[in-house]
Amino acid sequence: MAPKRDRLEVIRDILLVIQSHRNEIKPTPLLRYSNLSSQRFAEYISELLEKQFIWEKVDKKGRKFYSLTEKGTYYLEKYAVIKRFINDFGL
Amino acid sequence: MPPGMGMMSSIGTDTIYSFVIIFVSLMIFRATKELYDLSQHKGIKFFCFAFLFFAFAYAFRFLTQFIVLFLGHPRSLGTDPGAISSITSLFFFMYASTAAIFYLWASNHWRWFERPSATLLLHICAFAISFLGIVTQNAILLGTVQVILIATLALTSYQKNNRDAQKLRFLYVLLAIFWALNLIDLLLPKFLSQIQLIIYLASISLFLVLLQKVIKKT
Repeated sequence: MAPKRDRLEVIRDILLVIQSHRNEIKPTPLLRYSNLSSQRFAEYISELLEKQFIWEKVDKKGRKFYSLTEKGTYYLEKYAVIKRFINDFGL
Repeated sequence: MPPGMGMMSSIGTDTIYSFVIIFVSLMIFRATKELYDLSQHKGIKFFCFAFLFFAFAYAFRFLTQFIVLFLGHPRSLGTDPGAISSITSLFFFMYASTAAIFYLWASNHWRWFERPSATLLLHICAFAISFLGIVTQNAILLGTVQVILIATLALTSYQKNNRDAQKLRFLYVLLAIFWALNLIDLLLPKFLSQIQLIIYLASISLFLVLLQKVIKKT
């Protein structure tokens, strides 16, 4: 069994899923790829929207899509640095 | 050396010492604040805030030394403006530096401090220690409290197996020791006057080593 992901890993995984889908994905496949319960998924999505890591767009047919913002892309770039800092400083 | 020259030299040394530590602390704060803003990780938050408090502490330390040099060391909790200003500034130095040491320790045990009330407890302890130091000005009492705190810090800092982290925790313990020496140096200026320069150089070296490690890892 894979070890339980921490909060930072879950955020990275969600952002990576969005990025790997040409930066545009609907909520249902994102939930499936994220491997989270719908409740936890909703919590993470609202956190990511609040922190402006992702933004929500609605097309003419009223379908919702999530895309990465610049801040979200920056988080992915900095993720390795954050994890190494936490590990090396024993935080 | 004429008395005036000695005083000027002392002001110069203290100014350089305080401003180097303030500058280094703010650099560490700035580098780690970005990581905290992105990650919202509690451990990074405590680490980052520790250096903000160090910067505040050394600003008050400089202010205290400056007031003491011009108005003399307050013998008691007097009511004249000189005594009040130096005691107040000394209190804020003690409070901010103690809070900084607590935050550094909490960064390694951030899961214990997830509740805001736990963080508040750290501030209450820092306040109590500072108040005790100011009111009693008793070196033995303050020294005992400091030894207990440093021993707690040292004993609880070696629980994890990560080698890099353990080396850093050794630096934290050294920082705590120099925090204690800095407090004693301010409260009882004559007690450590012979080794004051060594304390200054060692403190600056510790902060520079931490800055180098933070810059390398960020």
